[in-house]
Amino acid sequence: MDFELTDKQKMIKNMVREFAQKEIAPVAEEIDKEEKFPHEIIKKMAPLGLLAVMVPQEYGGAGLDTISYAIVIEEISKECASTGVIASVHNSLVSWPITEFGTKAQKEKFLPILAKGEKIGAFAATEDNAGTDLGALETTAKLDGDEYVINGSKTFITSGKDAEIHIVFAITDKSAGHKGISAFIVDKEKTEGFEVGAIFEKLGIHGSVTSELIFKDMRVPKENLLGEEGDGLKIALATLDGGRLGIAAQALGIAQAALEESIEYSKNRQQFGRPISKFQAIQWKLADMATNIDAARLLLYRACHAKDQGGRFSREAAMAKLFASEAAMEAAVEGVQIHGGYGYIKEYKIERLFRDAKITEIYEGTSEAQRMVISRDILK
Amino acid sequence: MVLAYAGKKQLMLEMLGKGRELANELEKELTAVIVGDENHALAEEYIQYGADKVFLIRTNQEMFKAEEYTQILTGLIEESESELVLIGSNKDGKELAPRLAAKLKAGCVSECTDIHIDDGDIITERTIFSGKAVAKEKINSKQGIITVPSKTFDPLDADTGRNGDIIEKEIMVDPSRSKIIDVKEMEHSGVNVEDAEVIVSCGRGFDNREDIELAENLAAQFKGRAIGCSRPISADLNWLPEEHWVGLSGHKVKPRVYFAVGISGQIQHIAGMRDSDIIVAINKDPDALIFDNADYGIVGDLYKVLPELIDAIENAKT
Amino acid sequence: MNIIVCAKQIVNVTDIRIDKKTNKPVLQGLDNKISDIDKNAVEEAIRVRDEKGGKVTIIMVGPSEATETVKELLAMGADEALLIPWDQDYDYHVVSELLIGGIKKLGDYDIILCGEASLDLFSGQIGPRVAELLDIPQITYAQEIGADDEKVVGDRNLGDSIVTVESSYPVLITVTKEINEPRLPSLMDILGAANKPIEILEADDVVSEVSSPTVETIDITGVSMDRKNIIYEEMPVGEAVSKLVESLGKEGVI
Repeated sequence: MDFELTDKQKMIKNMVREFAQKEIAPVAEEIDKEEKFPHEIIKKMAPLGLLAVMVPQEYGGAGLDTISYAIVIEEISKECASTGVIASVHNSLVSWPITEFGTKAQKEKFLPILAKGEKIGAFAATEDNAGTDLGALETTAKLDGDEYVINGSKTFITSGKDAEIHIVFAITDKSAGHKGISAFIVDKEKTEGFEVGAIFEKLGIHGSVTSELIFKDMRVPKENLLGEEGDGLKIALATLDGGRLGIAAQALGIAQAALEESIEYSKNRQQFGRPISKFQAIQWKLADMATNIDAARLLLYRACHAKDQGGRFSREAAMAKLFASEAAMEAAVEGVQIHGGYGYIKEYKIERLFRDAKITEIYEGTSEAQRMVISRDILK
Repeated sequence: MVLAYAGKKQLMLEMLGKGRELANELEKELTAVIVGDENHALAEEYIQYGADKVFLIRTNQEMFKAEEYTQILTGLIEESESELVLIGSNKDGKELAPRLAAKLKAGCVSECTDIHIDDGDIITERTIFSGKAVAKEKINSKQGIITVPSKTFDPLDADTGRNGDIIEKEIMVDPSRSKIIDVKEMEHSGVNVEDAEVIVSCGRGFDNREDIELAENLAAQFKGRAIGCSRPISADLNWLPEEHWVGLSGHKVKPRVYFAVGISGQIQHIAGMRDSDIIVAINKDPDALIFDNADYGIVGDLYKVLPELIDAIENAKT
Repeated sequence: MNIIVCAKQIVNVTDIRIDKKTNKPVLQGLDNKISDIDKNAVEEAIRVRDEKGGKVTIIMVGPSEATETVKELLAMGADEALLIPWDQDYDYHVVSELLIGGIKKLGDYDIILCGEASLDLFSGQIGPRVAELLDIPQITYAQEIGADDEKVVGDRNLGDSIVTVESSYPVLITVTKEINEPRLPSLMDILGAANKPIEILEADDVVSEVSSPTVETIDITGVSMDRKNIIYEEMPVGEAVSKLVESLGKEGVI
């Protein structure tokens, strides 16, 4: 057993950190304020391989392990959680299922485009009445000749407006229940009947531009079916297990940033003639934050390792995501508290971290859903 | 023998001041070197300022090249059996000294802030780790080469009665394979705040946008300068574009000198300039927070202080 | 075109703190990195090689575990590296002799590139020392270089003037950080670096006898980072100003 990152992983961490500090940090506040999708940053990430961390090299990716992937998402999210989730969705919810379940032709067609960032990926599963309960989907897909005709709508789709390659889940056979859901690769540009609906004004992660998608007789070529008909739920669940590692990494990045901001602030903020870091009330908060963050990181790396070993890792992923997101929220809350009044104004990064942290407890499975996954696994 | 060489007169006078003290302690002579310029008056002056001997060197080379000056100085050092060599730490000196040291297989200490003799040993001090620490070092080689930055030591008072030898020499060097093909004066236009060596930053103490010219005039006294400002000047009043805004949400800067003029010193502003080497505050409110974060401060009206400061710096430079 | 870049591993200077009790800088446990300006030198070497062909070799005298940071330079695009393990004091005379010992083992070269100075000690001695020991011209503080087949031209930044110098090969060039923006290696480059060779030669393999240090460190003490808080008040403006100018003069600012 070895708790050290490998030389390669360390180098990756340094590289992504330097990239994030140089290219992302200076614009993160603007992205948040103007609710701007970070197209420029995404463009710069592509040549570094950050949009295809785990994609095999033959398809233009870096073909790296999952711990390296978690490192990438953490370091990006430390500077901008919006960019972090866009990258996480692109890598683990779009490129990954295509790599895992796609045909050779699908991989050759879509993975290089995604790796180069020519098109951004989105994961279109959630609907008004189907969140945690994906079985309740209402969007339908009917085969008509060589094409599926998809009708319905999706909501809360990360990168929904700006993405062009969407993994869309729809019912192909209502009578088959959970086995009647199928997954499709939809290239927005190549189809009609794809509309972007409402853009949501959110509490945080403003840059990820979350939207509704509306499909009206949207025709998708038969060869864009991902896996077999009826594989949809299986694909969604397997993908979300991996996605949770991305969100856990994003949460970890937010938490780490909150800790670093709080340490910096408390060393410099003077009250009663000395830095507030000299007060035990502050010291204990920082100690708790640091401990939670370390635990979250270990859980996350363990889950990534489990994924790379093959086999199921749902419980490990759920634990990592649950713990990391709650650590992020706690770090953000305490971070604002440490900053006092300054933490409540937009000039300080902690204010953004506070707003960005909350979503990590909600999307890609709420904390409650993670507890459900964990308890089911330990009680079986 | 203690030997001193710098291409700039003022720096040379400062080095002669320190060199005299070291030579006395070592009970050796102090020799100054002038290269390529048969300037007897300058040589006389060096003697008045502490040199016992001045080598006036005629040579076949024209402009400074470290390769060629290394040859000239090596000969002089060996001939005069100098054990301590002081080289002016400007750009030329900084590339000459180590090359010379390599030739002599000698120890070399760059940019010394202090030098003394302890039991016959040459002991030097210099700042390292970006100014966070001072290293005290001892030279163990037969000759020690030390570069001395300007304004480190004070020149002696000129003693017109001092006598010394002026020795003219001709030293021919093997020309370097390198050729100087152009020399251009560098334009000292402003730079952006993050790269600036000197920042003059304006705050609410300025009454009008036009008055920022005063800050610009102060900045104009320095190389690598930039104008900065606090939040209100940029975000609220729009007197300066955002690229000048120093602070937490603006730019984080770390110049050599940061002048905070008419800036009260809110924590957000401090967060942006805290890493400056030297902070100078000018504010009429003696209780302004900025003074707690300043190395030097003047309590006074910036409209009175700035014009005098600009004049004084101008005079100090000449 | 064979280009050799001399690189140094340093600790991250911004992370150095001073222990209040001992008044000594704490160097243990800090991250190691390649001195920043050396990365500019590597970037420039890669650019010249990509234009003119040839190869870029990194040479380092440093701790034996420095292979880790050397790999970063290979990931950037250097072709191979030579590490001469050295855990004793960093004496410029000794290190430059080891460097030229290594350089001679590497064979023919056209350009040797160095950063103008390392960020930890900022002496700038290695470049000129290596040039002298090899008896080749030096072009220091280059903020721009252009390499031809026959000669190289460099713009030297001397602070108040730019001096353009030309030299035939071989030549040693030290660069400033303004010369370029060092590239970040991609994930693929990082993976590829694992397959690039890092040769390790002991000091005894490169010099017949290791010289004794010419400079000995006696003591390192911390400098107080507290602000001086010297405030001139309750005096005429003229007096305050002249005191301030005198202080700034002593700080070497004017």
